[in-house]
Amino acid sequence: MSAILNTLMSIARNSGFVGLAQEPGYLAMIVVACILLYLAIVKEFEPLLLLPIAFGMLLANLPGSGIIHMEYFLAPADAADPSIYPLFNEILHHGGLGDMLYMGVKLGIYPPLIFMGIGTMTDFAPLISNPKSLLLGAAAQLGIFTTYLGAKLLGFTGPEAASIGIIGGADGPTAIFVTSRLAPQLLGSIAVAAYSYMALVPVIQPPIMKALTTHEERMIVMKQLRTVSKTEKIIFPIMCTILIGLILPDSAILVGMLMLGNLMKECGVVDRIQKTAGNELMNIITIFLGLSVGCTTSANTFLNLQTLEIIALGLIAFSFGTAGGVIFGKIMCVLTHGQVNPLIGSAGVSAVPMAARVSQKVGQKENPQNFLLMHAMGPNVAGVIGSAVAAGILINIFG
Amino acid sequence: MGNFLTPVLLKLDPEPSIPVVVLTGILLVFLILILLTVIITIQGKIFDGIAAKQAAAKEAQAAAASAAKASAAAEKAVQAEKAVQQTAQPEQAPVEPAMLAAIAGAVAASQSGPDVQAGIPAEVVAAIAGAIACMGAPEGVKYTLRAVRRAGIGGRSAWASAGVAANTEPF
Repeated sequence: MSAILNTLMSIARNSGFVGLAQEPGYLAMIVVACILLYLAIVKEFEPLLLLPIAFGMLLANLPGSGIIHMEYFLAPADAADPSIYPLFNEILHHGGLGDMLYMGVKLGIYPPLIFMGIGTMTDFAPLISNPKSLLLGAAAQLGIFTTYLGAKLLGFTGPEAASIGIIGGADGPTAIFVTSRLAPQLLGSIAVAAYSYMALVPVIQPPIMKALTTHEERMIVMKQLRTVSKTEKIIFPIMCTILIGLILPDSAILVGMLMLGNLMKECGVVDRIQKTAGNELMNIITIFLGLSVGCTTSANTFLNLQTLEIIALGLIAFSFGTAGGVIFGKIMCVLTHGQVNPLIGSAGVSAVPMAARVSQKVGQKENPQNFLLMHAMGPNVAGVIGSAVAAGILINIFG
Repeated sequence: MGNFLTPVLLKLDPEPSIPVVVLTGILLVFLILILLTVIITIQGKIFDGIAAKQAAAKEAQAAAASAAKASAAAEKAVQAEKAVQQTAQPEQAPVEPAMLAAIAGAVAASQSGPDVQAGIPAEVVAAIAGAIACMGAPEGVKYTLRAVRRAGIGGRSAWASAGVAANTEPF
């Protein structure tokens, strides 16, 4: 009888409830995870990523689960030799599921593979038929650098500010890629902020678009786009990869994988692997990425003033990105004597295709006969390239 | 040597200032994308030029082919008329040149094939033409397929209608 009681006591001592009592932060994180699950499932805030992130957060904050050991990855501030981190030997011998999955994030494997899947689903024809859209994609990256400025003024270090700034690119894989290299301790906060704000694009953008444009500008109907040949669509990804890869090698992996996926789609001779890259592979990587990023969040890295500052800066990033694109759209409208509707500039944030749809919706409210969607897709996909280029620049400077 | 130099280099290469990062970043993003814009614009103009040349060449070919067909048909009609005139009554008036041209046009039109609606495969047209050719053969009557168009399908398809008819037909 006493043996049974002793065994039960031993099990009770090792239960998660004791861990919760010792570290109340775990309980707070479980509540936060449940809130994020609510946002993902009920409000449908980018559920494909937010749900695994939230569940990873939940699993990692169940005391004693051992799913991940961030101490194997992050060097403490007083480490004698930070260069030995991550501790690969410890990870391989004592690591859990989260440790193994997180290796894909740490080594920069998942984001490029997701970009390849995005490339198989992207149509660059609106961009090729109207190359000036690239300039709108460039202007929308203003959000990244203004947020970097704001983060530096709030006291973040250069690499941390760069990681926070990349939220303005409105590109989840790019944000994770940059943050895992420059400021992995902020990965959880930045990923949650990035994906939450991407879901809020239809809420954040319209007021800024209306404030910066006049009724006449919003009514502008743009000319039909020219037809793009298959040869052009095949040459484009190859040419982009070579050009951007040579100028900025740090962005070669992201841009290159995006263009590989697109080339597989456009050439039409690798239908099987194109379907795999855009469906099964992308879904698998999405699960691994979301789960492992969620697992990195803990009470001491998430429940602090820094997270609130990151969330506030994320809003600034999206707002300035939208404003930058719209203002440049107004400049192009003037220079082309009214041929460009400035609303398509807001689509330069690379939340594809949500931002393009917002341009279409706002334009159609002013003029129901105005179909801006395909015109807005040009800056939208240009923003994906622009944010990858900006990521390469920041990694080059701070990496 | 590298390990000795690295701390020295790091001291010489501190983190750039905020304005340098912001201005360099924005400038570089714009420069790279402007370069891409220029290259894609030039590529677009080259391909537009090639497409325009190909379209012009196709049009010229099509015009030459139809002119050649019309003149060949007119030639045949003239020869047929001459043969008729040799065997016909002397009182018969010669055929007007305008009528000859109309006959030539009609012959050329019939020789160029039926009027086929866009989207209908050539194999389908060939199968229908073959079936029509076989239709009149036993009686010695010659049918010509003039046009192939899709009928508007409302309600049930032909197969579905046949199935309903077969199942509802009284015993």
